[in-house]
Amino acid sequence: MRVTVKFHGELRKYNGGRETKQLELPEGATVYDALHRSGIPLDQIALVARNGSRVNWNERLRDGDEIKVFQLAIGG
Amino acid sequence: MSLEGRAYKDCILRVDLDTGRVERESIPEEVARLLLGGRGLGSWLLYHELEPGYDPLGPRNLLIFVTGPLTGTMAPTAGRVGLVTKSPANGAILDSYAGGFFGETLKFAGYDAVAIRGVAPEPSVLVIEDEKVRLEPARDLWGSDVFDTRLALQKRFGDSALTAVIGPAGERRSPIAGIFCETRSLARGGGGAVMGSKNLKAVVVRGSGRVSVHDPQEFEQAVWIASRMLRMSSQIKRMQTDGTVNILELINAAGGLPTRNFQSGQFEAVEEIRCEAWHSHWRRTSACHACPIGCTKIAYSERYGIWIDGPEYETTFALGSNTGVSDRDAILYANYLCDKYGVDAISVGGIVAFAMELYERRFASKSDLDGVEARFGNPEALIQLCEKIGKGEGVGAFLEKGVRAVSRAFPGSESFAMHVKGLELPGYLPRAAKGIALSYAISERGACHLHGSPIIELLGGADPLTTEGKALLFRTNQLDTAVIDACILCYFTKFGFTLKEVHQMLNAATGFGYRNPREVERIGERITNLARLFNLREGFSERDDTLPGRCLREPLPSGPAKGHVVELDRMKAEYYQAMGWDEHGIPTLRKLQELQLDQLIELKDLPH
Amino acid sequence: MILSPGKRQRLNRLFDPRDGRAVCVAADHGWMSDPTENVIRLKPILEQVIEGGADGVLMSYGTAQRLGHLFHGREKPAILIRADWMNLPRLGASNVSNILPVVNFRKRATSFASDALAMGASAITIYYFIGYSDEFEALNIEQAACYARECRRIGLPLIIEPMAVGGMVTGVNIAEVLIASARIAYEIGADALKVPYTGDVNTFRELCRVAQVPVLVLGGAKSDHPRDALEVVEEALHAGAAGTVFGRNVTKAKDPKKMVQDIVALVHGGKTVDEITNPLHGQRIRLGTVSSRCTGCHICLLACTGSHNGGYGHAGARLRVEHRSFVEGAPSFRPVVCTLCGRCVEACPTGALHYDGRGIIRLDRDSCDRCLDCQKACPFGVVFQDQDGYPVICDLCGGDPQCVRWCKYDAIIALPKRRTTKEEIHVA
Repeated sequence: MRVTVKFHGELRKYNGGRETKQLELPEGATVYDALHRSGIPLDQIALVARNGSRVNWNERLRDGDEIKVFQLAIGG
Repeated sequence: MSLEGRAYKDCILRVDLDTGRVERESIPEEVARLLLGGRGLGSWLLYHELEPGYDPLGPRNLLIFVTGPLTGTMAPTAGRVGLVTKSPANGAILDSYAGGFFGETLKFAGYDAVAIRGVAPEPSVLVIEDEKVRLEPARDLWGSDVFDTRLALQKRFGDSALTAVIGPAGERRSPIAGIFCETRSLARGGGGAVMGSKNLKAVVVRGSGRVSVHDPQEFEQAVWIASRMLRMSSQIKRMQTDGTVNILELINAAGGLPTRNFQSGQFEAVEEIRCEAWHSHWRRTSACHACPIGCTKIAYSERYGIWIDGPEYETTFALGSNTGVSDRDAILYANYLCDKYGVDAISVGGIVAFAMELYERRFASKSDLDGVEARFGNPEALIQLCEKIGKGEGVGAFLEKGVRAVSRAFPGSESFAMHVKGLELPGYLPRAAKGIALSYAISERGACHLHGSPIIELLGGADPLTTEGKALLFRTNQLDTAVIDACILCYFTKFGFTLKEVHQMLNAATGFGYRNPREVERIGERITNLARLFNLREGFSERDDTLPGRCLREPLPSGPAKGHVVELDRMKAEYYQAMGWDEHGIPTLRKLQELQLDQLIELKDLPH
Repeated sequence: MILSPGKRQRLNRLFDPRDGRAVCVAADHGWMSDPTENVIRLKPILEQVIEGGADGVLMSYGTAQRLGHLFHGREKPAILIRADWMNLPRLGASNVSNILPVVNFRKRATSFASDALAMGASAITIYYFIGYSDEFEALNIEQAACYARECRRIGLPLIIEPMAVGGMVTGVNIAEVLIASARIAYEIGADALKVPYTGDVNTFRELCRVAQVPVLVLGGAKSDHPRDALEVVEEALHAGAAGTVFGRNVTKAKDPKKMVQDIVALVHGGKTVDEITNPLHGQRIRLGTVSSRCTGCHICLLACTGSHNGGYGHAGARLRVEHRSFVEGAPSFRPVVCTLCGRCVEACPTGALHYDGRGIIRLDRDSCDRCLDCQKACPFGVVFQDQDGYPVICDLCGGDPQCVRWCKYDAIIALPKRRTTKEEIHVA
């Protein structure tokens, strides 16, 4: 199945400065599998959203899902 | 030994506007050691000198501008100014802070605090030029907006003069009026109304003095380390690139972005108002005094031809997602109007969103709202209502009283009147973030995200939906923040360095010799208890530590926090216990003695 | 301390006997936490690390098995083996930043000390977690004690890495927690420690004092400015550290070999960070500005007054910042500094202003008649006047300008001073 990974902020440096990366993953793959293939050091990841909402790393992905990976951030 | 030369100027300036008399007094060493300055010093003065139950807009209320021991030094972000007064929005203790350059200039002029009381016989400007202090008539400025006032003052007093001004809203004593220090503001809680009630249009400061520290070499080293830690923080770097609004998309992903008057926590048009979208409006990055973070973005709206400092995350939520508006130029213009007329953008956004819900649920008709088509998402309505509120015209004169006052006119609307203790809610959805929810309920000045809200829980730092451990987490943050507000530093420094670094800077600056960071944390605990005592004395109780019914009883309809309400009672009980208070949230005598508060205030005044 | 001959022998391989110090590189960040190119293609990075002159390299058992041949030879670094595993990085940044106790934190032993010995290792490294739960802490201590016993038996040095995680550790107690854990690690039987920097010299000195065994400071997350990471090394050495274990700050550096060489220069070569990182160190400089980078924070003025006159202020600084807020239109900030153009020196009728041997403008107060012709001549408006009426002119802080040092935004920079004026030749 095909999954889109979006990189937030500084994390884009792990994707050649681009925001989006397409991944081909086997059926049954989890968020964790996608993160592992994204090229981002896992300890840089603060929050992962699937199709716009926060998601646990062990949840299964579906074809066409969009994963957005956020780094640690603050503001307010 | 005087405090002068040990990071303090050892001078509280007292201005009596009734008589025009000016007095100076020094700070008792014990007060400085136990409460530092800034929020601590201001709270102590207010607690001591304001009679309980007094009208916040009466002549004897004190308007206290404070600096801290670190203000004016090289400590990162130490140029801020604080304001302490009794809030006209709710009668609680109000403390508020602004960046920019007013704070350090006040310190360079020679003051740790300026306590103003009385009412000037005519609209006036308080002019502080180093040791020279005078009142000048300002009838010509009365009625002019914040921007015009500032330009006029600049013309009159020169470029090196820094100003704190109120707009028309402050003159009208609107409870949402702020005080505007150059391009930053002491916005929340109605400080502008207190200033207006004193017939004071502006404070102008020029300072040519110095701030000296106890051990310059040690201090420079401590500051260097703190600055390096800020430099090395990836979170701080995000703020430099994308301002405070950088978190908006994360908050939305966590279901915590208040949308349409806090009905839900995800905004469908988030792409329109996330940080990337603002880049086309941002023209320049700037920083407050001595700040290595530099989170300020300066935006330009071509449609309206206006410049504005921002938008911040808070203004984007308040005037954007919370009113359902995704039109960026409209958000910028609404923000501009708030700054122009001198009102707090968070409160204005909350009022507009409340009006929109009243309208959509037919509590209020179109004619009730001067013919404004107050649908959620209508940028025209946002701008019209902001303009009316800012000017206090038509329905604006009613709306500017705040969400709580407005809801009283519409029985049945209380559960979605989004305020705590009369102060409108900031930009995190309580049902999606339990620790933040607790902080909103407890904060002394009313719903507040800057007095210890663990915002990090929405940014991946913890499970935001559990209540477990949140009381302690909030307490830790709250004490931290109280120390930062007493120093005075910027709350964002927390994400680069800790109380450990603050401890070292303070010791080098003041020579107080605090033994460890724990002793510094104690200062924060002392200040928090002092603020609690003030509110208790004013008649606040455990019942006021609550949240709007929507947060407590309406399960969230969608998003990652779907089905959640805030389980407040349990967290509140845990929090009171963690603070060493009784089950009604009253500090015990033992706790107060342990905190040495008996050395600072009369314990016989206590509500026991 | 009395050590077994085996331990002594192997510690001598790691710590240079001439100064008792060691530069180690941690390359044990595996696939589990860091599934990136620099884990997959570790060999070329390790080759650079070895060329750079590291004393030891920390690896997983498997990596050592496959890349051990890189370490053959008298001058090659010692092998250190990571003997346990934990899942913290795998849980994401949120759990590393640990505001609440992490919920599914695990740690396990992965190899015996004797396996590492057979691999030719000079030491093993294990974690020791603190600030979590009592139960977890007990497990940590038990595991560390087992390793300590085995290491004693086979004569292999044990390096313990105390690591503070969990909601119980905050800025309020981090230093005391690390100091206590360093001492506990020593008591369990560590022969050396791998410890994060406590953040300041005083507390780290205390840590080194109570630890009693050599302390290696670790680098932590990769910093954007190598200078910041090197400063940490300099301070830690000053506080009594015996060297470094840097991981990502080396393996993810643009030039790992150069980074190792820089650390070696600090640890063994007695160089300062400024000597290593400042290309203009010791040279003649002048100030330059890049206005577009200025944020108007004015820290340069504080740095200037703070270092010259005691006390921080804006008045009396030897430079200025033009600041126009957006209320008047497009915002602009611009630092204005002395460029050593020399107009003031030329304009001085009494010769009171002159260049010193390093090209710095000096004022001889005795021959100054306070006419302030210099101020009138300055095209940039950066000649000021002190309380007594004497001119105040930038002196480059004697060669280490503090405005440059403190400007975080690099809006004020040091440039090489090439042009030599007539007056300078005269003085020289």
